[in-house]
Amino acid sequence: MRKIVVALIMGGLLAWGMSDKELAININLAGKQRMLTQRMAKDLLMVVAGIKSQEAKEDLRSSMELFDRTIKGLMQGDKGLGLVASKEQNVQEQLKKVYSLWLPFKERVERILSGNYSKEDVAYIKEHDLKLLEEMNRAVGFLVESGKASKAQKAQAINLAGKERMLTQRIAKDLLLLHLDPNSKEAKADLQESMALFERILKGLQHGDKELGLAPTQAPWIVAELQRAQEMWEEFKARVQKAKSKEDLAKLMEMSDALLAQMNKITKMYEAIYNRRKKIASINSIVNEFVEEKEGQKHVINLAGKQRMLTQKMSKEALLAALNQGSQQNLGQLRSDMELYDRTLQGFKKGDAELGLSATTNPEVLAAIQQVEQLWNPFKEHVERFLAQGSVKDLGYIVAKNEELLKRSNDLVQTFKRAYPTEGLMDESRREIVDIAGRQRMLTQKMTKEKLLVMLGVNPEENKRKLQETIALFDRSLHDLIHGNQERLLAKPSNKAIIQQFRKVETLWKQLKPLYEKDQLSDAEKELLMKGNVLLLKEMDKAVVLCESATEY
Amino acid sequence: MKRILAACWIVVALFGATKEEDEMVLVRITKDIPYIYVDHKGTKIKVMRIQDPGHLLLDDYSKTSRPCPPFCIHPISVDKRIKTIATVEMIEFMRDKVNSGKGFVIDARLPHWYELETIPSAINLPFTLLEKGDKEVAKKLFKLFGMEVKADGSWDFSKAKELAIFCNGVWCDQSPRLIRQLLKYGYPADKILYYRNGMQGWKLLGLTTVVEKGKVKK
Repeated sequence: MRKIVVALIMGGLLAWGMSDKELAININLAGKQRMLTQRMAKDLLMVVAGIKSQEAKEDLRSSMELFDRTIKGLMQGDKGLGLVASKEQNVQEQLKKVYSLWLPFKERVERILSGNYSKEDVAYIKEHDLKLLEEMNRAVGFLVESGKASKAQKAQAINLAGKERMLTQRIAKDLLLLHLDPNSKEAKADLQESMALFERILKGLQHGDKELGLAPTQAPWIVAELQRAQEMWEEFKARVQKAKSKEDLAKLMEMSDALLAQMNKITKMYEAIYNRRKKIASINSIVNEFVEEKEGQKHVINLAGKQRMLTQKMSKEALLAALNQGSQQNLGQLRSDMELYDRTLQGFKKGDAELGLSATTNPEVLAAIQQVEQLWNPFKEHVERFLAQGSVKDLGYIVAKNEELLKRSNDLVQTFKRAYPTEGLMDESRREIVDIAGRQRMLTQKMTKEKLLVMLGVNPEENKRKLQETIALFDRSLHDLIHGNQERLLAKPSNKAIIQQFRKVETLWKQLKPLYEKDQLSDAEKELLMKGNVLLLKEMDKAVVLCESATEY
Repeated sequence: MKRILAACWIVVALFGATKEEDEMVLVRITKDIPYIYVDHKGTKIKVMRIQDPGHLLLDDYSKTSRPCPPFCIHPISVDKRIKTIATVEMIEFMRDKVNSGKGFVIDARLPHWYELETIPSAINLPFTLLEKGDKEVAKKLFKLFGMEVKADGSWDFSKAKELAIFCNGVWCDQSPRLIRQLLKYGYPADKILYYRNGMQGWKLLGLTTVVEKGKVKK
């Protein structure tokens, strides 16, 4: 029995190939057609049984008219009903099949309504209502298949709540059939099946049913209506057991209609919530497009800032290799930094999905990139030759030109900043902070390079002066980042994580600064400085990331 | 007094389990509203106040002072055509309008703020979206809010949803900026409400908030 119930439900699983907007309406109305087949059969039996004949006739007429309009609407579209014609061939073919079954069915219903009908007309309806239901159900199934699985899953509750409407009428029809022929095994089996199906779906809508693809309903206003439906159902079931007289049956018909109205209300609620979620998802997609653009801008500025640091890091690594300080490691690092610089620069121009960069179209930015390239291309050639041959001439070029490359790289950062307008004072301040904190990364590498040049005796006086300036700049910037500087548009951080990270950098800096300033270093001190500057860069980079991503600075 | 309230709370916590759920609520929203339920990204959220009378606000929203400008105190009215609402009206809006599909609660802050913490049922519409966007973006959004484009191309707002808009609090200019943009593109003023107290006002009353993915934050 359970298998039959599941097969019946799954056989009729929803779907659509319509746009999102029409999805819920089409499911609801196509699903409603199933109910109407059973309602018409029930009304007809009420007329025959003489139970509330006049009311039943009126109801039969309106059901017939609604079925007729809806089937046409599903095939050709109906603005008034909010229906859009499906473009799927199998859906259209199935709807035509339903329509061809419907026409002779309708003819007989009209004859019954006119009062001029034969026993054959009644028999025809009794024999064909289930066929019409079956084919309508298949049309709903094709509509479902034409949509995406996820859509279908989300709409499952609408479909099954909608299916409950049909079941109320099918149950009522079976009760009437049993009244007219108490020995009908067919009607008895169908009644049992329909009642089991109704109960399972109702339970599934409330508590979830994995097999049916139903999640427990969470919306409290629907939960309350489902509870009400459950109470109505319990009352209905109890009355079915006791029903004996024609009056009992009439009461059951009334109750089945009330249950139908209740399930219709619930279906509409599911439809509304589905539509609301679709709308919210669409709003989110508009917002996400905007967010991605904003995040992309921050990312570009961050990478452009990193390029400055790489110019200095490459020079430092070349010098360390020349000094035989961890040569292999430094040469390997130099190669990878050169490749990264080159790839990022190309990425700014042509786009690089892996680096999260899209091609630049801004003419000012393109001009700035060209300026960098004019210096970078020969610089890169010298780095490559130094890597291959280790010649002093190439090292000299790197040492001589790295600061110019740094300056051009910095110009590119500033050009990117100008290309992306800020959203107010705080946004501007945050951008400044990220830039200054980002620059600190470069300074750690620049001062190490300068220290090495002093140690190597390359323009010692000039490099000593430069080193002192770099140290002073690092010092001043770190102080301003920690304490704020209104003139420089640097806000004082109040975010605990950011303060902590700056303090960590400060502690490390206090240990390293005397080593940068000391004239003669022991081997142990040299090693400490070489390891320490890498750590300082790493901790400074963490601070930059925090400054960039923390919600409140 | 604080101790008495705390004792009451403990009594309720210990013995309230046998009573009806709403009778257990010591710190109610109003005398008649103990709590409400709303849908947030498909999750049912019970919106109520923190039940511990000794609870103090300790997070970022306990901060009293931010530099002005830009964080200046805003007047009660953002625009003479726009109705400003307080917390009770906001909750009633969520219960009566959002739950019935007639309205949206809009968080006007930037996405990372929204993701960090927001008011249940709120959807995010960053204030910068319309400032940077054009009429086409406005049209796309407004259609999702129920606006219809008539045959002559004009915009029909008769079925447009009501929007209750908030940001961080009385010192935050993000929701006023969004409201001004909505008005600029023709969204009807009588369908916009300004919840001026914002996140800070909401949190000050110990009301439920959600973090990303609809998780309840206390």
